[in-house]
Amino acid sequence: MKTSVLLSRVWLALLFLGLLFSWLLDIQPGRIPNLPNSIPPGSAQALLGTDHLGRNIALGLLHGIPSMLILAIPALLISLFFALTSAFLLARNIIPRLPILNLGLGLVSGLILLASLPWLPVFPFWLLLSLAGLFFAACCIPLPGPSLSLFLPTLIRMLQLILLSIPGMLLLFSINPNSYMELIFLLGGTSWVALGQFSERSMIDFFRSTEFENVRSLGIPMFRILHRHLFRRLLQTLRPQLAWLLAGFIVIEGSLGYLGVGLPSQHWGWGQMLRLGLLHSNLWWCWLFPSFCILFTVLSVFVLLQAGRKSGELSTHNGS
Amino acid sequence: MPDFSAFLHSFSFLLSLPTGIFAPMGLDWILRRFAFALKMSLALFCILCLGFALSVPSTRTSFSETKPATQRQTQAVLPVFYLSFQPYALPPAFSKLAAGPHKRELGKLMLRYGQEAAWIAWFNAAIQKAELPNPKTMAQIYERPELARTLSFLPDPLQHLTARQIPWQGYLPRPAFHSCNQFRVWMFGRSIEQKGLIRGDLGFSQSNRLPVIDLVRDAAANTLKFSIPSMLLGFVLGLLLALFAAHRRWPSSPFMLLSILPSFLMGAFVFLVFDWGGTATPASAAHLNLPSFLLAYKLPLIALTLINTAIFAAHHQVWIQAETHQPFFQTALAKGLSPFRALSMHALRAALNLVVAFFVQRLPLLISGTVVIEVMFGVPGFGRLAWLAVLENDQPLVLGCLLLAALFAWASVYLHSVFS
Repeated sequence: MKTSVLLSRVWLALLFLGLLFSWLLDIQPGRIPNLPNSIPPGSAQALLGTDHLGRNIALGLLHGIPSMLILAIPALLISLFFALTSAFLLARNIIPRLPILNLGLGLVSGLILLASLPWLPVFPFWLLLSLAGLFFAACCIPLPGPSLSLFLPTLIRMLQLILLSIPGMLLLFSINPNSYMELIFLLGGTSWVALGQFSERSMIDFFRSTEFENVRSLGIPMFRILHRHLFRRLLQTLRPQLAWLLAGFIVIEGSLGYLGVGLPSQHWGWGQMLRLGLLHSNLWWCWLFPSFCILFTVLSVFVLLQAGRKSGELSTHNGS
Repeated sequence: MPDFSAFLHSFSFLLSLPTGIFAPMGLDWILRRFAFALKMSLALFCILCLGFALSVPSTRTSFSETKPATQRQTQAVLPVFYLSFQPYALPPAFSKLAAGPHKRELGKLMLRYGQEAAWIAWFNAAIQKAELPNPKTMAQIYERPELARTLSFLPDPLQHLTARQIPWQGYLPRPAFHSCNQFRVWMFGRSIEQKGLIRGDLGFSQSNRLPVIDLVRDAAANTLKFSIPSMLLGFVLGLLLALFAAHRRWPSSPFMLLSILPSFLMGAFVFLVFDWGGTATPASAAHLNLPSFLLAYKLPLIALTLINTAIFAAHHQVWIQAETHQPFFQTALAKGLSPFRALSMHALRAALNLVVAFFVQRLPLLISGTVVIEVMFGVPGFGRLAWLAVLENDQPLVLGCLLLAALFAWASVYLHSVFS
């Protein structure tokens, strides 16, 4: 095993341990009283020192772990869902109709649409409901003729075009979400386009491959083909994209924390610690430790998922 | 894209009969371009609608919290969009009332008791006399009609109105068209003071008391002064590094790792390494020409150039190395070309399409990709303006920044699709 992969695994394991400790002990950086200001690291009172207000750096770092993971992982899952759904809806024209799967996709997509868009109060609730219903119907009903069946792909491509044209950071500034849920939906709902385009290409390649024709001719049900052949292959090929996206979400959380905007008021993360540390740059431990945490986390995620992709490619190659 | 080829073939054949100038392929190309332009225009319209939806004043404050003068000034009394759907029982005059809890309760009362014109006349009169009852009271009237007869503030005709009920009409939808609406005023303007977005009127900044368009224009000019040189420098350096790395067969991971680093970490690195003497940045950049500006803001320039170099090098190296496996590259080597010359003359030329497309794809970041660096180094640019606007809750300025960046990105997406 390469050293970088081993180090990445150790770092991520430490992060999850820190997450457990943070939840079990209910750590709040503001609740640590009576510590002197600006203690350097290595003291018995505070292992990594305290900042200019006497807050414990180590406990602050521990508290920053759940804030980061709560934001990045659900946003990644939402992005993945949107990407796979859009890719499937765009690629499905070349496979037989799957009423139950379409029904499920339409229902879940409609519910997510309903849950994610109430911050647009210009549109009344019933209009959102109609849009969700339209989406649902477009997924379920086999549309006759080429012109009508192009409606949904055109709609999705238009959505992709719009999302590509709106800078994410400025959109977050404009909406200024008040809760984690809004922020997660905003991040996940606006970042799936590249992943969706990549998934669509992979799906089309699979549906046109001889492998697909062979398993169809063997009479294997479509669900099993999707589950055992398509999605396993997709998750292997999507790993680097997911690495980029997850690292991107971590960076966005850090950037928003650094800027001090776009995050809920109760949020406390490494970006905020870094900003306060750089304001007092003579206290080197205040900016050094948060910087290292962000750096190691981003690099670990990237290295691990890249390594996973390489091993996946190798196993596929050997298997074939 | 829809496949119009069969239809176009027959159509262009008919057209070419009299004149002979509409070649089938030519018309097909024109119509495809037209369809693409139509799609881009629709996307632009949707972006504008999103900007408008975020800026609608009636969504920020409820009717009861704003004075009539404020409502007139912010266009809150107008309907939101050209088209709206409302229950059949509600008359078109209902849509002209300002949104809020009072309107909601009034709508429910009208749906239950009918006689809409009388209700609206009573509502307008109550607004004029400032005798509008509490929404909770209106809700109680809706629930218990007998309450209307006991309340002293209700006029006599209204007490008679509550005697009969017509609930079924409320379930029939009816489309309504509004020629004068908030979107039209926002987009096309209504007076000399309100020119509309199409004539560059993005409103007034609440914190600076200046037109948003002037603030955004000056800030964007400052941003472009250092983002364009850093992008060009990053592109050239990244290309050279990629060629060198491909020549030495280095793995692409180091550049990839550098390219995903957060910009605030890169900025902090530059700040701690290059800012030896504590460089003082000028308070205003209005009087500085380009060389003075770049000299004054050399640290953000260095940071942004490093970021761009890493990103370009990472992507270019992958594409150039992919071309080295092609037969033409092996042939060039076999003919005796040096590896570096073969890379730069053949592999790079083959990958040039991707290289240029990626460069065009990154063009929107000239404006919107420098927020953190500008905030970190105090550059009076576009990103810092948006950041300050958020901190000061200056919604028109934030939306102006968003719209300008979105238009810039939209143009870049259009260019990218042309190049790729």
